[in-house]
Amino acid sequence: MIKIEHISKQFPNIKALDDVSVHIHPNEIICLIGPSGSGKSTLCRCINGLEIIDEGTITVNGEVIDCNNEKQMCAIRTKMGFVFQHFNLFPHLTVLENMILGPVEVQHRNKDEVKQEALALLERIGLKEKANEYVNKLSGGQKQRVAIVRALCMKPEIMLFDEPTSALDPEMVKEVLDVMRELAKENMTMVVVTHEMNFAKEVATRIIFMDEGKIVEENNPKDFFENPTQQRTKEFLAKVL
Amino acid sequence: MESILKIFTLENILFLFEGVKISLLIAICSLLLGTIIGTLLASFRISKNVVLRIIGRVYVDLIRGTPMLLQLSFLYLGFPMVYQLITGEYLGMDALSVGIIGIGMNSGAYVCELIRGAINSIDKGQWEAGKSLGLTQNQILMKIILPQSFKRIIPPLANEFIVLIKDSSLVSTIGVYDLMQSSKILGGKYYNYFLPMIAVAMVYLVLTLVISHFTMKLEKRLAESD
Repeated sequence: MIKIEHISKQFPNIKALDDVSVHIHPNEIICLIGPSGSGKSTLCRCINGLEIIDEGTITVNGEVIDCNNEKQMCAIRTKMGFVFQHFNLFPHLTVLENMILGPVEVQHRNKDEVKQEALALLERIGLKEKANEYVNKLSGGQKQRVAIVRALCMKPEIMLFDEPTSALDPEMVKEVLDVMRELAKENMTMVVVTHEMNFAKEVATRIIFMDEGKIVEENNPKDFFENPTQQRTKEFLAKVL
Repeated sequence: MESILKIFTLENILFLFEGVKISLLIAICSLLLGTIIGTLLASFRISKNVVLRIIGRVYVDLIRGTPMLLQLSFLYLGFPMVYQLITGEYLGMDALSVGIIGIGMNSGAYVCELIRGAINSIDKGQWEAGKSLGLTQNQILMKIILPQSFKRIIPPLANEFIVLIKDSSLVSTIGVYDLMQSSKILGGKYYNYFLPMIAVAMVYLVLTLVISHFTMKLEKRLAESD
């Protein structure tokens, strides 16, 4: 579905990605873990072109993405939902307006139809009564849940999560992870950058451990957490578990 | 006391009032023109097109780097000459129009920068969120960034209006009968510049203070809705 091949990304003072290759298959749930600055967020952002890669190629459904081709990027992005660490909801719009903006403006779908779908999604995450509130009235956990359903409203084929719970109060982490668990149960293809090891262990089909811009180790969660092969992985796990 | 009564007759007060009308007309029209030019320039300056960006940059630097008095004089005296040289036709422009166009063009550069500042002050996550939904650059600007910038543009724009009321006095140098010019005329008529100028200064002060007062109120209300 998505082929990431030999990509590199250089930031002014750090090589964020160094010859990284990952193939993402349908219905996979990949958790990217690793220390801060290991390049996992950058990798996630490169997949939908929020960061422009210096080298290598990213192929989505057989199409090589070209960040300078706005039309192609827009089309590809409609197939990918992206959830940010800091939610990035639109503060001048209500919850419902946030959700229908993409489907109406980009996919040119019928507004009433989209509204119905959006309300159904809000009902599922228990926020239907907030539909007409401005987003600044919501708590962090509520904001992130809205951000997730905003992305889902586009009916994406894959969901990318960039540290979705890192900016939340500890009490609100669970409500967001629960929504993600639901998605996982529905076989949504997901790439999740996270520090929540238990979540990764529980829902991931594959764990990728990164350090200093490189993939150090990747495996299924059971083997990854029980029998890590690399020294760096062992060190990391010893500290976080 | 005697001279006050002599100078500030009903007739002369009405004459000053005409000046106020002209000054306000210039300030309002040039603010409108400046906002149009400024919006256009701001869109140039944040455009992906290098040529447009350079045009925007040069315009802003040129206008902000030279005196407005020079720009006005050039537009009134220099420009018609160039026009005649190129087209061979005489360009008849009345001083008032020149004043509005000149001050409007000048204001455009400043408005451009304040719009650009407001746009840049919007969190870059808003752009990214728009992109992630598949919106184009223009859609993001129109649907997400500008509606949020708007609130941040209004207070400095009101401030720009105050600046324009004061700067409109420069048109007196090209012979427009604005408030400033009226004071000079009255002063000349009665060989007393002191009183008319004090009076006119007070009018300018009242105008700017009133607008400034409303701007502050507006700013407070906008801040509350955040």
